[in-house]
Amino acid sequence: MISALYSLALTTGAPRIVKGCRIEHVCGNPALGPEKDREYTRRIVEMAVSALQTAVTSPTLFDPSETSAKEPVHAS
Amino acid sequence: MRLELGTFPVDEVVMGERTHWDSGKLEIDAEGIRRAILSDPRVVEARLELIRPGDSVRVTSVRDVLEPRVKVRGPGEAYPGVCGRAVAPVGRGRSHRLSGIAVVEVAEVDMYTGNDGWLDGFIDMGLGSPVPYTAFPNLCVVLDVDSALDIEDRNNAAHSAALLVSDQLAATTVDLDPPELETFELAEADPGLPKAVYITCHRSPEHYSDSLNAFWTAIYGFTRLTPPWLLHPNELLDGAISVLTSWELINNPIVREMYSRHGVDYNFVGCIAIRTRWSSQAEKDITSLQAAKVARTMGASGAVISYDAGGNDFMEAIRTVQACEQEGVKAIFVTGEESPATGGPPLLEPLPEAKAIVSTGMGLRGAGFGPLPAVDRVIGKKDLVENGSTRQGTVPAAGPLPGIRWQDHFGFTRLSAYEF
Repeated sequence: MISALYSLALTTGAPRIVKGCRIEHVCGNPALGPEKDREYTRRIVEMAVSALQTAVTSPTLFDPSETSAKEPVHAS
Repeated sequence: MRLELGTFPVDEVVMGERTHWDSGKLEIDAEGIRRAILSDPRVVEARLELIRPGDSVRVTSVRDVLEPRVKVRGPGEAYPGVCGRAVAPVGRGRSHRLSGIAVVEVAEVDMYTGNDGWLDGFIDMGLGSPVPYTAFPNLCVVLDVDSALDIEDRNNAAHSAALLVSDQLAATTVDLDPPELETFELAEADPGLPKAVYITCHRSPEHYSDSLNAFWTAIYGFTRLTPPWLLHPNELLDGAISVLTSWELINNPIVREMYSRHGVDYNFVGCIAIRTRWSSQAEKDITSLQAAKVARTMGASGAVISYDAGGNDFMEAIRTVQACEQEGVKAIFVTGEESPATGGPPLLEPLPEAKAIVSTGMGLRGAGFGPLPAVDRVIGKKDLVENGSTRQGTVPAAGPLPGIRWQDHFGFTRLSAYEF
């Protein structure tokens, strides 16, 4: 699930959650300008695709703003 | 900060030759008030209609309900900041109120252009309604505003007209001694008592309207998304937070109840007002965390938290409950419940920190009090949207309806359920 309000997705038990931007533009940010916006959107979608290929045992948050691979955050 | 609040009860109300109050009888010069409203060229037509409990009448296109108020001593004015009114902090000196009558602003003008800016509520004057201001007569101010104006000017014109009526009714009391006088002051109290705050959460229309000045519930006239406000409870009692509805906000029973326990069970140290409906996780988190931090900085060990809107806004409210508990401030959450018809849990996000919950029931969208019989007369738009969420379909406003469209945000009603 790509969500701008990911805390709700975590507590309600979605297995894989990708951090989105805002309610009004979840998968991008027009304020960045067309080029950077496209790049950001691509990062979100790629993160979502990679999340789908990741085994999880509890609600897990994936952060597309991170450039290097980090441990995903788990809901406590 | 000391506020004297004088109450002038209205036991009888009649239309007449001059607007004045005498020993519980309010006479209203409807034609004189109408002329005053029409001196604003933005208002094309205006009409005053008196409705009474038990009348077979339904009022639609309701934009606000006001209690007539006037500041007779001290800085500022009632309902500060809205429609260009003075912004000096209120809550000091003396204010007068007319009880037992409200001014209902009726105009077919959306609150703003955008999601949830539509008017789909109504007032039904049938007996037994839980809506507090239907227990006494209401003066409807029915307005036709110049449709060539932009949405914010139309809103300003309509609300200015309603404020004018409220002002003129309340002005009848300026030189009189109030039959009832209450004094509100957070006087020095037993320092051994714990401290408590009230955190009141109000929806901002900023991101749905894409405007900083959209018409909606205002704090000193501001509707935009802002960081937490620290307010003295007297400011709330003087209308610092108004619109949708001003009557409920200025008569907020939580403020009065917390005042009544000041120096008895706890020391009431103030109010924190936050705006909800931020659109990113970080903004929602900042709002909740800062509200809790302000509460803690005030020395509070307890907070009552209420909010005034739906699921989106619930997030800041419940996160404020969580943040308070994590800061060591015990939180009491005043909330409506989702209807079981939605198939979801009663609370959108039932966090474990929400341990003390006061339910104000399920009022919204037909899940509450009802069904309502057909009525003889409709004031305002003659049809209603059938489904407020999807904007799909219309139903005749005069016809039978499944229920009221009103949510009790602050605990006005006395209906209770006990599990045993």
